[in-house]
Order: sequence, then C-alpha cells, then structure tokens
Amino acid sequence: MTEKEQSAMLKVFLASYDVFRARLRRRLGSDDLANDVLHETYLRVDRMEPPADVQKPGAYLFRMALNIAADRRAQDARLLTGTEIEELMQTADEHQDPAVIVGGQIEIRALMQALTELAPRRRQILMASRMEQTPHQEIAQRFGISTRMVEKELKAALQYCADRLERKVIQRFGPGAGKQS
Amino acid sequence: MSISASESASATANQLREEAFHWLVRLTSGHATHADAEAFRRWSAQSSEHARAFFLARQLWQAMAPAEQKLRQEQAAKVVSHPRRFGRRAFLGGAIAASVAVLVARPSLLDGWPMGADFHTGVGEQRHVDLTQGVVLELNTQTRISQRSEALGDAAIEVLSGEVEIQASTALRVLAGNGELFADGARFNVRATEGSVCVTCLEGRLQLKHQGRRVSLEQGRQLTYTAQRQGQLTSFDTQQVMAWRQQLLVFNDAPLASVIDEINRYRPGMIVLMNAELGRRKVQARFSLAQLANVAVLIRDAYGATITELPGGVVLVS
Repeated sequence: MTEKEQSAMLKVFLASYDVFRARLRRRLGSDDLANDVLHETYLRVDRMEPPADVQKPGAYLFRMALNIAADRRAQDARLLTGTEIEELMQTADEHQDPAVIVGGQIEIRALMQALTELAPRRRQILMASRMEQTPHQEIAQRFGISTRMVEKELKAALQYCADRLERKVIQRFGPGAGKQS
Repeated sequence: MSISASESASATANQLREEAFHWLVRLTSGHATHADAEAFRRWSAQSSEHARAFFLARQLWQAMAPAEQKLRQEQAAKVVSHPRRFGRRAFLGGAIAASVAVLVARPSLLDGWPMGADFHTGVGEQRHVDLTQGVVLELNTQTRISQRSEALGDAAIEVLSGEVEIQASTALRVLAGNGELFADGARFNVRATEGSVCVTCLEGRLQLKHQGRRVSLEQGRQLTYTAQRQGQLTSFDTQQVMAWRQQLLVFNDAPLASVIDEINRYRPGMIVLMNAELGRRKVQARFSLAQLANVAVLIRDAYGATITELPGGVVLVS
C-alpha cells in the first residue's frame, strides 16, 4: 500500500469528521461515546491498509466506526470478576481519614437487633446475597420474584439497618451526635 | 418555605446514602459489568462525600455477616441443651413434640432460626449444597440439615426436617427420625415431616436400619416409617414425588386439604381451610412454585369457594 492511498483515506476521514460525529451521536445516543469511537477510528485509519477496491470510502469509514462502537458495547457488557469488584470497591477506602475509620465502627449488637426486625423474607434475601454470595438472578428464581424486586429488598434492608443504627447513636448521645462533620 | 442549612445538609446526606446503597447492590449483584465499573468510578469521584458515603455503605454491608453469625449462634445455644439430639427426641414423641408442632404451625418463626442446622432453607426457598466430593444435596422448602460426620472419611448428615434430594456417588450415612440410611452410589429423596419419614429411592440402592431391622430399598421403591412402625415398600409416581425439583407441585387426585397443607410449606403466610367438606374434594393440578402467592384465587375459581385475604399472606378459604 502506498503512502498516497493511506493519506487519501485519512483525508476523507478528516473531511467527514463533523458529519460522522453528528451521525454517531444520533446512533449511539452519547457525545462522549461518539467522540471516543471517532478517536479510535482515526487511530485505525492511520494504521490500516484499506482494501484496494473501496468504492465508497465515506460509507466504509462510517461502517468501521460502527464496528468499533459495537466492540466497545460488547466490552462494556463484560461482567466484572470478583477480584475486579473487590478492587473497585476498595478504591473508596484509600481516601478515608484513618481516625474517622476507627470512630465510625458499626455497633454489632445494634445491627443484630435491626436484623431481627427485618421481615423474614427480606432478611433471607439479604443473607442469600451477603453470606452465600448468591447472584440476584438466582435469588429471584429461588423466591419467585423479579431481579428488580431483589434489588429493592436489598436496598430496603440496608436503609432500614442504617436508619436503626443512626437512631441508636442519637438515642445515646442526643440529636446531632450522629452527624458527620 | 425555607430549609435550614442542617436540614438540607442531611437531605443531601440521605440522598448520597441512597445512591451509595444503589451502587453497593449493583456491584454485588453478580452481573456488574465494565460499564457499571466506569459509571461507579464517575459517581464516586464526584466528591469526597460520595466516596465516604460508599465507604460507610460497604462497612455496613460487611458487618451484616458477623452480626448474622452471632444471631444464629445465640439462637442455637438458646433452644436446647443437646442440639445433637433435638430432632430425634422430637420425632420420638414426648413433651418436645408439642412445642415443635407449635413452631411448625407458624413457619415464619423458624426463618433465621436454624436451631443447630448447618444448612437450612426458609419458606419457599430451595438450595443446592455440595456437601463433599461425591455428595450433592438439593434442599426443598423449610428444610434443616446437620453435619454428622464423626471422623475423616465418614460422610454423614441428619435431616432434621423438610425434604432433600441426595445424590451420593460415594458412601454416605443419613439420619432421619429414628432411622439410619446407608447409600453408596444412589440418588434418593428424603422427606421428614412431623412424625414420619418417607424415603424414595430414585437410582441405585439404599439400606435402612430402623427399629433393629434392616431393609433394602431398590431403585423405584419408596418406604415410609414412623417412630414405631415401618410401612411396606411401594412404588411411586416419580413425576409427582420429584416435581419440586422443577419448581412444580403436582397433585393427582389428592384431597384439597392435603393440597393446601403442601402449598403452605412453600408459601409465606398461610392458607387456612375453614370448610372440612371442601377439604375432601379431589384435586388434579400442577402449580408452579412461583404462582403460589395467588393460589387461593385459583381455588376460589375452581371450587366456588369464598376467600378472605388477611395481612401477612394469610387467606381463609371456606
């Protein structure tokens, strides 16, 4: 492939840039995504060897951008591994003031009390997720409910326990005690 | 209307807490994707308050496990002084049987009270357990199983209550009621309800030791025994006995009263039959376990019964 052909393809790409971006924005529904995809397309155009007989370079390039977008979607849809999730969740820890970590210990007794106050099914769902690490889909099947319902139950359980623990702190020290500075 | 500074601050804090819980639940769902990771990073990076809200949410989530463990330990210690023998003593009759009957009639009390069981399921719950190499258990609703292995190489469990399908590719002892089963290369169903144990041999062969007698169960044979007596070996309808494994309940010409009893095992709350005559009507039906919440309506439509729905999933049928 000659230098000449390569830069011709690039020329077409650069000339069509704004049009491509507008079309991609519409197709993908996101400015950020459209920009990322276009950038990636540019890199590939710069590197690649176009077939000798491309009739409609514009259409060819746009199809390339769409393929890149589809690959990106597939990549994004990949599930995180357990390790990746652990690391991800721990990134929040790094920025915590060590003194505050000690001060904010959860009172296990109070939490135990809160757990006994949960509706039986809600507590079972909570423990299936927390203790057994059962995925939501399986929990949903086990209980004959939707995964959305499983999420709602888990959030409700967490909210309830958090509320109860906060109330306990306030009871002991008075209003304003539970609030962080 | 004006909101004080501290009120709006706590409103924001509540909002952040809710969002943090959302992310926690999403990331622990078992189907979190790379796109979720990206979105979470963006959310968390918005401010140090965001990161802190998530940190606290995760702290609470983590504390749930030790809290639940402690609860279970304390309940188990509270119930009887000899948890090892509880299931058998109750089965053999005596004063404890009365209290067991009360507990069984109010199934919700048992949820979260394993009472010395190593594996248990709640109402309507089913669970898969890989016990050891070569032994797989499928627990049905409201089932409690305990480990009873006494030494290395001795695999043994006790079925305290409920129903379990056991696949024993290697040697396994199963205690149920006052009987003891020996399996090695067998697949079988054990159902222990108040007062009796029903053993169904699906594949392979089993040995039962009970009341000083030894009985062999071949594939295709079923035996029921109580504390004092053993029934005869009978054949069985596999589809009906094992339908629960496909999340189905199958009834072939069963009286409505026993159909309702069976449904209650899986269904939170309770269906109460007020009309004995209605209870004697024969039922031919297949229910999916997922449909049981509203099964009373099906009964009403099929038999012209009257149903009264009360809170907590209690339904009166007359």
